[in-house]
Amino acid sequence: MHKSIRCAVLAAFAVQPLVGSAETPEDFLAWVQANQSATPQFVDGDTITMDKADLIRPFLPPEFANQVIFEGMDMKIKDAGDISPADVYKAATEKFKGQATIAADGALENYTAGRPFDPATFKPGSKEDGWKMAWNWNFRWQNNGLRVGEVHWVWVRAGGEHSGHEIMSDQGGKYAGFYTGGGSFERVLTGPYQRVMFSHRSELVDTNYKVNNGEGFAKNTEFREYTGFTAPFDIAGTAFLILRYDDPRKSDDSWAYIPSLRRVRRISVEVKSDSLLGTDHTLEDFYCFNGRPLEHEWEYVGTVNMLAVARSRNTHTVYYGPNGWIPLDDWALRKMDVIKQTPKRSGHPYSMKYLTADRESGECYYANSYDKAGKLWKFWQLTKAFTDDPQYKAQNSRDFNGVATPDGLRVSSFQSINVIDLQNNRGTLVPCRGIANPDTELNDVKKILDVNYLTEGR
Amino acid sequence: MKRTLRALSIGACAFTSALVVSTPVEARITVDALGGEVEINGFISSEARAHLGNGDAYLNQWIQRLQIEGSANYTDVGVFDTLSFVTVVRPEFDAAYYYGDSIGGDRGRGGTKPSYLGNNFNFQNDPVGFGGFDYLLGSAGSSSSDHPHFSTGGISKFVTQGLQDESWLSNNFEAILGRAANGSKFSTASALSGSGAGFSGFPVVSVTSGMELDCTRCLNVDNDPLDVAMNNTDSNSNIYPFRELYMDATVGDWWFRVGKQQIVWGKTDFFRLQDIVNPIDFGQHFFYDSFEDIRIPQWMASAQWKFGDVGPTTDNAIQFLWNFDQFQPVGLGNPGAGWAHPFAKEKSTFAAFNTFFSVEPCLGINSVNLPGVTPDDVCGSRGAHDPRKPSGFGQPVGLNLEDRPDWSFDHTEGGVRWEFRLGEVHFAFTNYNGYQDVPVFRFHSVNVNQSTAFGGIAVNGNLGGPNDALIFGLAEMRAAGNADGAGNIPVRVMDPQDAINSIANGNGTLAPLAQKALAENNAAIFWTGGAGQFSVLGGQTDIQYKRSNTTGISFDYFESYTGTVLRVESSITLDELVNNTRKANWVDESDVMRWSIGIDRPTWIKWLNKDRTFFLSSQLFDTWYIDHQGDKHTGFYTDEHNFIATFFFIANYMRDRVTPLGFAVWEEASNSWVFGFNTEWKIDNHWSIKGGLHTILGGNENFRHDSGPFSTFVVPIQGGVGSGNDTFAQQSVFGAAHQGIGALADNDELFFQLKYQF
Repeated sequence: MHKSIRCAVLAAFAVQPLVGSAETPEDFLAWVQANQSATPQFVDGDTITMDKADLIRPFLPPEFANQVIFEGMDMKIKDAGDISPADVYKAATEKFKGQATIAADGALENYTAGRPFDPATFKPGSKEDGWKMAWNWNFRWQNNGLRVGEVHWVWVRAGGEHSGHEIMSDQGGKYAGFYTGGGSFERVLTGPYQRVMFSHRSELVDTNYKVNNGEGFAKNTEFREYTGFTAPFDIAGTAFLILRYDDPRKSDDSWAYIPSLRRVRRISVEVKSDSLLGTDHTLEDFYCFNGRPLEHEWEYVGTVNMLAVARSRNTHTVYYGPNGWIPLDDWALRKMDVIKQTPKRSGHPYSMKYLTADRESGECYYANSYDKAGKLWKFWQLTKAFTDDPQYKAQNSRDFNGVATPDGLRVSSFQSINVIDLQNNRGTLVPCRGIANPDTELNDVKKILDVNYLTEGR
Repeated sequence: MKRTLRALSIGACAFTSALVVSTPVEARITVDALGGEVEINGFISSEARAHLGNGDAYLNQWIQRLQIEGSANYTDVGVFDTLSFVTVVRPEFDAAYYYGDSIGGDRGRGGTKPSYLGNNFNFQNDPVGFGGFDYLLGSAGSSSSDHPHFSTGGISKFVTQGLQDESWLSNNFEAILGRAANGSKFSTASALSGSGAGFSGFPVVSVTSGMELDCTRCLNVDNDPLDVAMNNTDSNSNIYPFRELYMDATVGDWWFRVGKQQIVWGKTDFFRLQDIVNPIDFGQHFFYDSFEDIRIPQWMASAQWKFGDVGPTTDNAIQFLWNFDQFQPVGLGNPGAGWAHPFAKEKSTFAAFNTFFSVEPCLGINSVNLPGVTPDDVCGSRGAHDPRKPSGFGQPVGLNLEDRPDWSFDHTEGGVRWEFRLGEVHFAFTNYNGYQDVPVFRFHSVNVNQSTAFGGIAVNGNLGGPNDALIFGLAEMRAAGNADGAGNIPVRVMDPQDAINSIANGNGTLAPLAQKALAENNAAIFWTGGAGQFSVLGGQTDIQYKRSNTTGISFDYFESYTGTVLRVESSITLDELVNNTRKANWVDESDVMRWSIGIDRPTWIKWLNKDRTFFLSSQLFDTWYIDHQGDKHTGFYTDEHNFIATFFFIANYMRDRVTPLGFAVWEEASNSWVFGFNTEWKIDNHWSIKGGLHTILGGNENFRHDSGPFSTFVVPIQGGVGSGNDTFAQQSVFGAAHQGIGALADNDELFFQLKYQF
């Protein structure tokens, strides 16, 4: 008996250096530092299995590696190819190069369209470059914005299994193939989502880079975002609408439609950093970060080479692994900029958060956050798909309320965002189906992004 | 028939229970059908509510509810961008009420015990309702058999005359509002003594069964027990169990909805200012349930046009609304239901007075051999529809009509709402023209005692017919050879204002009092001051509703520094119909302004929950009767300003699967408090359980209020405006109203709900 325990302890110590410590921001920064000199020992086309896991550890933050690496892992290495933005974005970047500036309070000024700042000039540890990176992130290439026909919010807990959960048999079992692996499912929420960008639209050269020339419904607006829920019954009909003003200093306006009240309720900005209906996400965590930059302090950390699902081979995210929260997909080594986000509000639940953004596409694949005690709390893994890929086009399916995405957009589009709460051993998977970056007519947009639309709920 | 109903209801209960414990069916059903997308979801629940108040615990309600929400949705149909047909179906069954005699603590249908508001119906608790004016004619006995032959009113005469047995009384009636001047409930005949703090209020008899009452067009007073159990009451019977049934359509920037529906305006919680389109059914569960569940859907047509920006305003939308439904007032519940509002019980009281007291008396067959009694005096001797009752004393009293507007185009209601944003402030202006949904009692006639009000009221020389004498003992008078009724109290039925005018213009002893009442525009001076001389012997009422116009404005604003949402809402109703006991007929009009300020803030309380904010919300309400008249005991039954403060919190634990919620409400005028707390646990996507408690703490001495033409019956007479002593001892319908929220004290409850949603 004693011998068994001793062996186990020894084994634990033996494994520890491989697993790595992942508790504090310092641990993450140590990984960033180590990553600088790491050289990939894998090549395109390799499949990483457990026996080769050490090859990929330098290219994954330790807390993430601990989840990605497991007995039975099947990580296909595949270069993402050219996922640079559309030419209109590049042209706008070039046209307005050097014009954008950062005000003393961090606000972006003199910005028109394209990428505001050249990240190649950023210096690690720089606060100003942190602000610039934050604005680069904010104005990454998104075209019209994302529309999702059906979002699942799956509350998963580590351990156990979910074969008996109703989602596996719902609608003839059409979701069963997406949720392989383990993990016990608790609740599953369902609903649509849409964001529409109204200003700084690189492709709208003829209308001053704004929808409708920035008049009427588009006036003073950066974007409007609708997040709805259709199931389960107790939250069906709940909807959130956020209006982000084009003035970076102006607070968002936010409303919620509460079915049990049958009326629209103005909501506080505090709600945006609060758990969204019990999920591990907040409205501010969408995309990695969806808040107002001026509500935070920023610092540029540097670059890393990191593995990510940057160009999914799947139409829909397929999960696997012992807890069912890792995407079974192609992984590409991507150069990413890292910035540190520190909330200004003392009441914010995070003490800080690290975000990554792809140097080429501008998209985020990974982020982590720390609680008020500085202890690692959550990490987010995002799976992206490329709008010009055929598997992306297949999203236009009635099965998931999909619509068409025009050719040639070259948007690294959202496929899923999955957050793991390491302190509570749980996560929330957010696979998005029926995704699109559709052409949008202002009249159509108004139908769902006007606050008065919410009153039409039932 | 009863056996069939019982079998059906047991079957329904069993079916519900079986579904609740059955294997879960598939979640929300969405299928392509009927040429579009058909979506069906809903829930089935079982909720038990145990009464705890007043030291008496019993199962007050046990409601099995099935709610199905279905819609058929289409796109691009003709001119419509989208088109939907939507319904909400909600059958339910309250087993505790329907089987009240067995599982409902001997309350509800078939029960013999009183409700939260009542006492046993007997002579001690309601001398007048039980025994009529017998107590004035002899010893105040404690049993119905003490006065077997008097015909002074009193429902117990059905028993003493041999038409019913004792259980009929306990099965159908209770005594309510029996409070002494110090607020304590009295339960003995010592209340009649008038000594100390024990002197009487105005205990009244209320009906606890589905007994049919003589009250024309009165809502909810005599619903069938099965309908009460199924919530198929007058307030909810419109195509029951379809709560909502409407068509939704969008065309460009227009949105249309036509059918039976709920339309919600306003920004307040708990109480309504602009949200007046649909009435609320407070009789189901007071205001504890979400308005979504207790709003009474109406047949309406609504059109909203979103027209974007106009000048500095954005997100403009204007909604036009036509409510073409039959007028429906607020629901107060059937008087026998577990959460019947006190006003519903009082309504049954007045209806019972009209049913049992207003008619001419008759006698049971056991009295036919008494001296002077003729076979014609026997109840039923005039055929199957003999209107006489042994409880009658021949005077019109109580409530005979709920004067609701009939359906006609002119009686339909309409409104408009304009919403927009101006900068960061979101505004809404509303105007609604319709009938007030709160009932107002009106005395349309009073019974003037000609023997004491002489000099102003001519004596009718031909007594003996209906409504010209208070008949004090049919058998006894006949036995004394006064077959024509001589010796009874002569009465003239008059318009209330005419009565005071006539007496004031006469030379009787009450003329100065009537003159003073006129001079001071305060009828209470006469009603109560003359009560000691039995000048007015009650009267007959109806319920009035008036069309009025309510204009509202509201706005909300997010204050970013504090993270607080500020909500302000106000409305003004011009010439709103109100009760004012200083008016001869109790009816008056007043402009009424209502306003509310609310603040909402999700707040981190990290030591209680580091993962999730607490939603905190506070509101302050004021109802300002601009033309207010009166004091705490006469005039308007409300103060000029009625302030209410509310607070609630919602917390979330275990990823919002465990949700504690608590609230507190304080009403300034009645000094009443309401507290509630519940916790819901969502076990998974389907199952949830919820439990909690509600308690009401009544205010201090808010139960006393002028009882107008019924002052005579408040015994003993104690003070009054006319006597120079303004310590009112009387309690009337407005006594309960003046208690506000506190009127429902003693109905504390513990509840538990099991729910399966699909």
